[in-house]
Amino acid sequence: MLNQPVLLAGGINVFKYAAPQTFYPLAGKMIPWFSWTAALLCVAGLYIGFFVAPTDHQQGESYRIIFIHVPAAWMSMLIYVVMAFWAGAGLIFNTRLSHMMVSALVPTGAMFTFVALWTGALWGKPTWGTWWAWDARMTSELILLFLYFGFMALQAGIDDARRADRAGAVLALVGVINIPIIYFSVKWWNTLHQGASVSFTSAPTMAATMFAGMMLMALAAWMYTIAAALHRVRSIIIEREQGTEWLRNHTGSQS
Amino acid sequence: MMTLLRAVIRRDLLLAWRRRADIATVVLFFVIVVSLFPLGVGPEPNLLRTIAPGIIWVAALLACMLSLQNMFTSDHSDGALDQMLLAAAPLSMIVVARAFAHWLMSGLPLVILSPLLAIQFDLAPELSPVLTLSLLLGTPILTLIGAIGAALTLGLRGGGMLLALLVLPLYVPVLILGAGAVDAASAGLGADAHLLLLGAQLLVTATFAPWAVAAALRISAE
Amino acid sequence: MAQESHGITIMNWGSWENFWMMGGYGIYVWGSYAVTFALIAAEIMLLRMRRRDALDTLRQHNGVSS
Repeated sequence: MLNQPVLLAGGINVFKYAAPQTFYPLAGKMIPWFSWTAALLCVAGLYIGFFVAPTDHQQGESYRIIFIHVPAAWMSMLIYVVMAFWAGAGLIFNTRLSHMMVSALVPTGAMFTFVALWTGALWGKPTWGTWWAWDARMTSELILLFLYFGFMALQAGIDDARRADRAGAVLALVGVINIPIIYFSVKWWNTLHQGASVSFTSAPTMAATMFAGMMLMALAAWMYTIAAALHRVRSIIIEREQGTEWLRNHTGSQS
Repeated sequence: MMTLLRAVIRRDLLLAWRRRADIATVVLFFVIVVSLFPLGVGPEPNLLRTIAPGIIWVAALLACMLSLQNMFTSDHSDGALDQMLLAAAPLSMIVVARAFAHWLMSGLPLVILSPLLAIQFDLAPELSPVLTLSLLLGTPILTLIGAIGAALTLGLRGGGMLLALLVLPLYVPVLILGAGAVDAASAGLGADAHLLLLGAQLLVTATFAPWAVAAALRISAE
Repeated sequence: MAQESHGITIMNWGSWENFWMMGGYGIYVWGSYAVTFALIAAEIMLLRMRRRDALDTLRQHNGVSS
């Protein structure tokens, strides 16, 4: 750590927290804040979503799935972008913690992608009469799920931690560059073959309350993701830094 | 540097010629997979004519992927890979040469064979050149993107399946543009847009993929 | 049209039954929410299990070497 440049971001040495040893307790302190914020935002969002937002005149009550579907879809994409960011940081600065952060984010990203697909299907059935339609957004979401699974499979298949980190990082970067290409090509494919651009899970014209509920849930999902990723990265730190001095006397609370 | 690249290409072609059977395997796989679909969906000519571009494209895609596994493995095992990593020429240039040679052996045969298979599906004669051109532009892209996957999974247990899982989602745009070109032509919309985009993607991939392959090779060989 | 029920004001719905029925779409809406929260609960459980396993391995490691 002696050669780390001091990044004067408000006087804080950012690279200090690139060391697992310093980040570990910081993450531990942050987790409860993010967890509780997520829970409160979720309660508020669901309250508005179910008790304040009115019935949609086109879709009836089925539109209320939107309060999960849209936040989940947003998070699934945001998480991949954040992953790619940390992957790039890890490759450039050669910081282990950056790579650990990537691995910590992946399962949550995959989970939200699956939720987006599941809720999309359950929304589509009553609205369009079919569980699945090969529209641009759902198809892109499906491919995103494959990208997540591919990443997990690659890391699972490599025993050496350093190689797993860096190979995963390359894959994440290649993936993030391809996601817009995939999305636009699927969109084009869809409009060409269907003629009219029908969006399978098109949101109803939003009343302000619907929008508010959705935004609250989106924020809740974001806070939850951070809390989950911080928790997971702490476990990863323990797993990987086994032999180090600072973990020697660490017993840790079971939380 | 050009002499080195020519040497790499010549060596690869020579080795591939000695293993001609491998080329035949890829081509045979291509033909067999294409023939499976009529067996699966029935011989009704109108249906086959409609799905022909998609089928031929998917089969080409799978055949490309089959052949990707051994792009680097033989070099990995006999130490030639380490030589490449230490060579004076930039690794990405060597990768381009390697990918080109590989495409000549695994992609180009498919392109050459495609008109014959188009006949099997009674594809309209004016559409056959579009199909061939789309494959001509698309198969190098498949080779380059696949090379990234091959480099990342070098020497891993999961091998071929893992490679497929990584690379197939990335193949989707190429498939859409390639098969879509023929579909657009058959709908009377003209394949220009698709083919131009395919060409653009080839240029972009040829520029950036070798760099990613080189990085992946370094990571895998450490 | 608010109606007191268990001390909670059920705005819009009129009754708990209407709430669960969701205008006939109950199975879709609740199917979505149930699966989502089940997955989140599963993730939280897995997170805890992972931490517990990591700490166990750590203790063994420390126990052996100290």
